[in-house]
Amino acid sequence: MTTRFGFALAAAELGLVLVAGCTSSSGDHGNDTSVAGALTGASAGASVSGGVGVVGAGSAGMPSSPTGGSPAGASNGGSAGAGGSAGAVSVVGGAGSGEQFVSGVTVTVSKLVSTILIVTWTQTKAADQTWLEFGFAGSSVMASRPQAGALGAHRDVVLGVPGSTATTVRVVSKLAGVENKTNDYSGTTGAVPSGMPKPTVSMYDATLASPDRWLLGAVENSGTCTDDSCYFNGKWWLYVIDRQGRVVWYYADAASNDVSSFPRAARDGEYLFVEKRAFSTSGTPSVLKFTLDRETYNQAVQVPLLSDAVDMTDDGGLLYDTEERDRGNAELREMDRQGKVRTIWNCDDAFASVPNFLCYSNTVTWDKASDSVLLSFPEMDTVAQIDRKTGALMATYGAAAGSYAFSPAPWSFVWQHYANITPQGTLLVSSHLPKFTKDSPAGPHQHAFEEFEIDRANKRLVQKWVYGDAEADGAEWALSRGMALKLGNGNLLVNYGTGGVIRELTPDKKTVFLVKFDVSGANDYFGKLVGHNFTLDDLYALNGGGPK
Amino acid sequence: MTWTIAAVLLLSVISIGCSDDSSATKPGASGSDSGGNSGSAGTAGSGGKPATSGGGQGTGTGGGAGSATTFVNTGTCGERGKANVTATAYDGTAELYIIGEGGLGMDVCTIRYDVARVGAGQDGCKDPLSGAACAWSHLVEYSNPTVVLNLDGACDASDGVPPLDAAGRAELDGTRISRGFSAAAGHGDSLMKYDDTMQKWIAVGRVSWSEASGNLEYDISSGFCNYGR
Repeated sequence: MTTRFGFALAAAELGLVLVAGCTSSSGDHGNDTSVAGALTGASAGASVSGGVGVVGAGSAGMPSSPTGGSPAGASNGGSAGAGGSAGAVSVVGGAGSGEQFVSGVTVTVSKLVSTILIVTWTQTKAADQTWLEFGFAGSSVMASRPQAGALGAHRDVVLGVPGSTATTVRVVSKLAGVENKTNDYSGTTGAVPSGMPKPTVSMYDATLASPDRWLLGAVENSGTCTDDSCYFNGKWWLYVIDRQGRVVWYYADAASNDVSSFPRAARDGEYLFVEKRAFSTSGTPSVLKFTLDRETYNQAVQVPLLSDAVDMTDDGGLLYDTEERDRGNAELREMDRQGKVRTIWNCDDAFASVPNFLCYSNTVTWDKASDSVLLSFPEMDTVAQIDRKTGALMATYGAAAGSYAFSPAPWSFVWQHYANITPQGTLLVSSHLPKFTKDSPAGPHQHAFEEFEIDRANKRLVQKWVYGDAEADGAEWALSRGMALKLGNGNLLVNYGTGGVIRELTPDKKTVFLVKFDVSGANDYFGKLVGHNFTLDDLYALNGGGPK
Repeated sequence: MTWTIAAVLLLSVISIGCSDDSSATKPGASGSDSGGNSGSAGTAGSGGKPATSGGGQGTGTGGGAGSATTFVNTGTCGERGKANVTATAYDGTAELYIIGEGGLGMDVCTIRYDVARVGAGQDGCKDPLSGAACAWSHLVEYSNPTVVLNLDGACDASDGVPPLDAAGRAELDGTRISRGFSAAAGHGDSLMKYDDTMQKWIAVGRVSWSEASGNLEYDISSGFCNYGR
C-alpha cells in the first residue's frame, strides 16, 4: 500500500465512516420483498448478541414495516407485534416454528465459488413462499429471494458473505402471512483463492455514497512495471466486494489468461455477462453468461471476431466490434440470441476518406434511449455514435472531421475510453487532458473524467463536469483504460484503468468510496489494471436465471 | 532434447483458443479434483484439461479411464517471462510454474531459466493475421535452471509438460528456440515461435513489449496439470 494521493489520510477516515455506515444499514437484505419485518427483528437480535441474528431468530410477532421495528420487539418472542407503520403485515411464528415445514437442511460451500453457501432442504409442509435469512458477525441480516414453497427438494444460495466467514442461516417458510423460521444452521464460506488480487478500501462515506452495497468489477493480476509491458498478460478476475473491500464473489478462468474485463448485468435476464478472449487474437472469442452461482445459469456463447468490448440490448442481442480480428473490415455487429449475426456499421467504409484512420475501438456501449451504440477510437481521439437499427452514423465527437465542436474550445479527447451516454443524455468519457498525449510521462492531473451536454441542434459538446484537472481532484493517472459511469443517486463511479484506482464521486467531486488494487512497492501510477465496474444493491438480481 | 523445443513455452498453440468455453473448463476442474483426491475416477485425463481440447461443452462428470494419475492436486501449468529486448538483443528470464488451488492460487513450483539471444532467429517471422513482418526475432537459449519454489515437492511430481523435476530441468537446459514479436494495433500483440515440427512460425500467446523501454512480459498458461503425491 502506498501513501501517495492522500491514501493515508483517507484510511484514517475509513474507520469512522465505516462504523456509521454499519449502524445505518438496518433493514439490510438481499431483496426488497415482504421480509422486512422478519429482518428487522433479526437485525436487532444480531446487534444485541453480536452474532448473526441468533437472538433475532427467536423473536416473533414483529410486524412488517418498511421503517423497521424497534429493537425491543426482537426480545418479546411469540406475541404479535403492534408496531409497523406501513406495508404488508407479516407475522413471525414462534421460535423454530419453521422446523415443522422443512427437514434435512444442509449448508455447504459451493464448489465453484467458495464464498457462496448452498442451502438445501426438503419442504415437508407446503408454504406460500420460502427464503433464507442469513448473516455473519458484524452484518445485519440479509435475505435471499422468496421462492414458491412447494413440497419437495429446495435449493437456495447465500450471497454477499466474505470468504472464510462463519454464517448463520435460517429457512423461512411463509404461510398465510406468518413467517415460520427454522432454528439456526451454520456454515462457513471457503477461502478466497490466494491468487486473487485484493483491494484496499481507504474511504467510504455511507452518508454520501450510493446506497448500493456492493461493487462488481474486473481486475487483472498485473505485475510490476512503469509502462504497458505488464498489462494484459496476467489472469483476469471478476469480483464483487462490499464497501469494506471484502471479496464476496469472484470468477476467474484457471486455465487461461484470457481477458474478461467488461462485466455487465444482463438486460434480458438476471445474470452477468462478460467477454472472454485471448488478446493474442488466437482462438475464438466468446461471451460468458452466468449467474453468480454459475449453476442456475451458465453458458458460453462463441462470438467469432469479437475484438474488444461487448454490450447487450434489452432482447439479449450482443453488440461488438471486429477490428482486431478482421483488420481492414472493422464492423460493429449484433448477434441475436439465436446466434444470427448482422453488420450494423463498417468503420473502414465510413472513414474511407480519412487517410490512415485506425478503426480499433476500445468501447461498445448501447444507449437504450436513442437505440444507438458508441464506439471509441482511441488512436483517432474520436468517438462515434451509430444508430443501431439503421447503421447510420449519428455523430462523431472528438478529432475526426465533422465532429461536434467542443464548448468551451479548444478541447479534445486524448486516448479516450469508455464513452457512454448517461441516463440524463450526457456524454461521459475517460480521457487524458488536451495538452497531454497517451505517451506523456505519468503525472498528476493529466487525466480526467469528462461529462458533456450533447447539443444536437448546434452540433456542440458543452462541457458540464470534469474531474481530474484540478489540484483538489484525485491525482491518479491512467496509462490506458479508465471509465466513468453515472450512478442512480447522481454520483459517478470512475476508475483509472492501469492506475488500479476506483472512486465514487459526488457531483461536487467529493470522494465517498476509494478502492485501490495496488501493486506492492511499485510506482503508484501503475496499479493492477481494473476493467469495468458497476455498483449493485441486490446480488440476487444477478442470480435469478438466464434469458427470459 | 528432441521433445523439449515443441513443449516449452512455446507451449504451443494448444494453450490458446482452448479456453473459449469456461463451462468446459470449470466442471473439468472439479472433476479433476475429485478424481485426484479419491484416486479412483482418474478424470484428470479428460475432464481436467478441457482447456486444451479447444472447445466443446464439458460435462464435468469426468469418468472413464483417464490417466488415473497418482497426483493429488490440480493446478495449472505455464510459462511467464520478462526480458529486455531490442532488435539485436534478448536478455531475460523465463519461469515455468505450477499454480496451486486449481490454478487460482499461488505458485507451488517455480523454475527460473535465463533466456538470452545466441543468434538470429529463423527467417520468415510474420504476423499470423496481417502478414506483417515481426518487429524482431531472435534465437534464444534457455539456461541455468534455478528452483525458485518447490512447495512440498510439487516440481518433483507433476504431469506438467515439460516435466519440472530434476531430469526435466536438465533436459531443458540449453534448449534453443526462435522467438519473435508480432505487433498489432490495439491488443493483438503476439509472442511468436518457430515450430520445428511444423517448420513454420506460429503465435503462442499474448505478449507485451514496449519498444521504448525494451521491456517484454508474457504469461501463458498451458492449462490444467496435476501435482503432488
